[in-house]
Amino acid sequence: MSSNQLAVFFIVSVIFYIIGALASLSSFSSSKWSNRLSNTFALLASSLLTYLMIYKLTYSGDVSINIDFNTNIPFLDMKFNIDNLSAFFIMIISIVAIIVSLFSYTYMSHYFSEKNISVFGCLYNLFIASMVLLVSSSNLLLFLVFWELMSLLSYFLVIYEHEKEEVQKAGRIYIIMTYTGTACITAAFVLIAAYTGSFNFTSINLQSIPQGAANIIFVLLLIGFGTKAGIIPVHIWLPYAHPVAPSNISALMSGVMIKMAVYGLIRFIFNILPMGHLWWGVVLLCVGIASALFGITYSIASTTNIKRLLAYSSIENMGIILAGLGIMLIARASGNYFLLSLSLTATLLHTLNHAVFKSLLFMGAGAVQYSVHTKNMEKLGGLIKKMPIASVLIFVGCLSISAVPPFNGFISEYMIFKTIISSISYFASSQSFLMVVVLMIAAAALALTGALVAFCFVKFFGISFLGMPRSKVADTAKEPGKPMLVALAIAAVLCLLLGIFPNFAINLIHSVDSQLVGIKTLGAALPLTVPRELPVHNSSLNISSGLIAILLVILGALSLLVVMALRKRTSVERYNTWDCGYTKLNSKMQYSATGFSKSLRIIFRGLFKPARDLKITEGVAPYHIKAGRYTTSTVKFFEKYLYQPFVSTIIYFSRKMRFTIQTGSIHAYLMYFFVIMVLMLLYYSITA
Amino acid sequence: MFFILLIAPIFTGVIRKIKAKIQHKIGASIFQPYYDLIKLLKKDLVISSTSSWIYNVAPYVYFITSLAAVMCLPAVYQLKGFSFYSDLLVIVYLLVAGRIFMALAGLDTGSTFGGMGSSRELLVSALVEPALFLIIITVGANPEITSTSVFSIYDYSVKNSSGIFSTINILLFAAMLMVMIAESSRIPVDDPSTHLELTMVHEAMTLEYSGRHLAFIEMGTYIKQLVFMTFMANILLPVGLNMENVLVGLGIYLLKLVIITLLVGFIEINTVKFRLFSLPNYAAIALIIAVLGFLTRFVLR
Repeated sequence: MSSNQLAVFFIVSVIFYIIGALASLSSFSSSKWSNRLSNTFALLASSLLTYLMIYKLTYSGDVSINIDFNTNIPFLDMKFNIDNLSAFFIMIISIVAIIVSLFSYTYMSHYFSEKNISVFGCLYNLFIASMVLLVSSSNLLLFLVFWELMSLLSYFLVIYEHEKEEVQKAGRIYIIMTYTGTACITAAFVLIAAYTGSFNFTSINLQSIPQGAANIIFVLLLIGFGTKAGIIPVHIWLPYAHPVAPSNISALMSGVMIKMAVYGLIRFIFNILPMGHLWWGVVLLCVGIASALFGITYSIASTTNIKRLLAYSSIENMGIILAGLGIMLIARASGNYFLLSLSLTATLLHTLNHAVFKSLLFMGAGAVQYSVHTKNMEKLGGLIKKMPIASVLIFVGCLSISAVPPFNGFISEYMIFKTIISSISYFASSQSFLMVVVLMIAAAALALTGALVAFCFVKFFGISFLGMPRSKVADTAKEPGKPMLVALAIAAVLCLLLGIFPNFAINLIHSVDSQLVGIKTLGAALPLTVPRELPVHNSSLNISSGLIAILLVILGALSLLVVMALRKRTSVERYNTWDCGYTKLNSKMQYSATGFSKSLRIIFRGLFKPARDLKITEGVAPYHIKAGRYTTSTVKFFEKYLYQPFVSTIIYFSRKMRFTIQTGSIHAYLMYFFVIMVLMLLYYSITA
Repeated sequence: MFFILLIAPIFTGVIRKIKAKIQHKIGASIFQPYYDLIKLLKKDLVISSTSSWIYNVAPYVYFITSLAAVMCLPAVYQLKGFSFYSDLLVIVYLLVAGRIFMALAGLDTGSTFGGMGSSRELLVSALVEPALFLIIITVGANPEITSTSVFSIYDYSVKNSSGIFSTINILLFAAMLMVMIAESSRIPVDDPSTHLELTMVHEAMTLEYSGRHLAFIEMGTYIKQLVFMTFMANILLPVGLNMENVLVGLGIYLLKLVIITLLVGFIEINTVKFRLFSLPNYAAIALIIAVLGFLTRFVLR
């Protein structure tokens, strides 16, 4: 396919999304049909896009797809340019969109009688389309338009169940935070445009931005995109918005939408801003690891809501990705191109992997919610027997996110550690010891994060799926419908495939890499079947996850043989779990999610400030307890110590202002006008 | 591989013997772990009726991943084994896999103790993980190696055999000893020989297991202990790695393992089990020693 053909097909698939949106809207009388139509068109368009983008990344080298529409609105030329970076992100969007659309076929059915499906279908299609167009736009204004569109559409999708109090609150926080972010991005864009005199990515002159302004732009972009990415301390919307959105939307938001921030950071800081200082990278690295550690500790210790747990874990993963980007900037500032391409590969691979396993996990949480109608872990348990297939698939997601070989999370976390090791060794030999120490802290923090992820997902899977059912609803859970299982299965298989054959993904990333960094680190692509050496550098990556998988299978088969030999001689008896002589072991005696994470809450008590309250109603004697009520709580650190003081200060001053400025007297208002007009005239006469 | 399977349990036997000797007891034979394993393999199984397939699979996954991890670290230089995965980081991730399965199995039975054991085990390993990674990074990020590949590290230590007893190696060795004690659930962190609620970490998790399942878990634990001991013997104390005669090399390797075992036994005799919440301090000490090792290598040269 030539570049022009690709462009035509790209337009066709975007039109599919729009048709899907319109079709869904027009069939408002039948929920069933609007759901079917919207998902089918989304599926079609996404499949086409996935194929196109993989084709583009594999075969068309550095040639970009250009689509230009000239408008007569000043500055707003509709310029779309899909280079390899954009293509990679479109690929992520469309892969996740395929899986999620399949999932939505049955998932949405539980809204049929209550909600308006046609509006949802319309928003859903437009939301995906807005993200696709966002990463392909090559004009600052156009980027901003689609960014805004994406944020707004996702806002409406988050508040889909707007009759609930909790959802309204989440929506409010989300929209405020998202506008804060957009404001920062807009300011940064204005600065870029002011210094370069152009809105088009391609004609922005890198060198014309002075270093001081570049620093300001960097900080603005970091806050702006960081808000979307959910880095601390601007993460607060994420743990509210993701749990309350319908699960297919949280899968899209967590799998894809927050990655748009990664795209933005790479595109603007990396591709448009000049070289930059070392401290940019260090700041990004520190913010990244802080988010990672913070996200995962919160994920374990402060919630029993499965979707909130996953949302906090997204903060953690975005932290890891941002740390990777930080190393990338550090490498760029110190001119080490090998390290640059290594960290870019690791970061993008983790971005792809996280998109896959996090959407799997969110859809899994959706499947649980669909059949059990609760998100509270303390009410789940024993689901592995009620929904065996779904729980295996979700288990794959848990293993992937905990970086268990040979699943996909392993390979990207491995690469991130490789990157850190290479950079420590580089800075040690170039005598920059401060950087060595910074990287050491980062490595230790990431190691702790990695181990806590395992803790977190043992809690997630162990409490919700294993043991005895903790409530009646969990006892009556059923396997979700077939399309849901198929969607989960595709995601799970993708996790395994990306883990066993990471070279496929790495080769795709490599074409991003060679275009963005401008050097080729590898001559020829390796065959996909033998992922012997990852193609970034000969000495830095020296494992083959495919062969590890084979080895594990062989060892497994050998021990199975031993078991077979022993099986003939021994018998197996099924009996109750040992209950310490007490004869009625019940589900309340199991470890609960709160209990499971208690030790961590105690260790990090400075952060969580755990408090408990025990109310006991005594009976005839002091030890005869009639009823008891035990409540625990933890403090949301940033909300309490950063946002609440800020908000109350604003409210305090606004109130003051109201009484001193907005007095209600017309005379005073007229005087304000008069004073301002005089000032403006003065200013004008002086400058003119 | 069979060699590892053969020698792994003996070190636990040796540790027990040393402890008994110091306490002026006779103690069981050093081959007692073998007798126990054989007996367990012959026994019938009792499986909890609330458990699922995870409970049945976990012992094997634990065993296999430990075995795969120890195979990353050849005993002598000549036995280079599998180059496609001999990487220090892979070892860590393989052990994580086994640990996840065991922790899930602890929750699977719905017992009152299992969850407690899982939670504590994961906490302990999370606390020592930073120290473990720093040790690996200090070894691997050496600008003359820049790789965590076991063979690059072996090659380097064979070529530079002069600096074996350097400050760096001693510090890393000490840190690794602490990590090893925590990871293989030995005394100041966990008491493997009791079933008392207060001391239970690893044991609580495996409380429900019986028969061959338990045998595989025990074996997995012995092998896991050997992973860390081999790490200490061959990477942090690379004496006699490259012997002309492979058998002599193996002999030296075993001797080093016995020395480490003596050290562990000595520590077990002279300490008591810590409270669970003093473990962060334990982990912090390990981390600080590892940091000192790191700084000695990269900053204070």
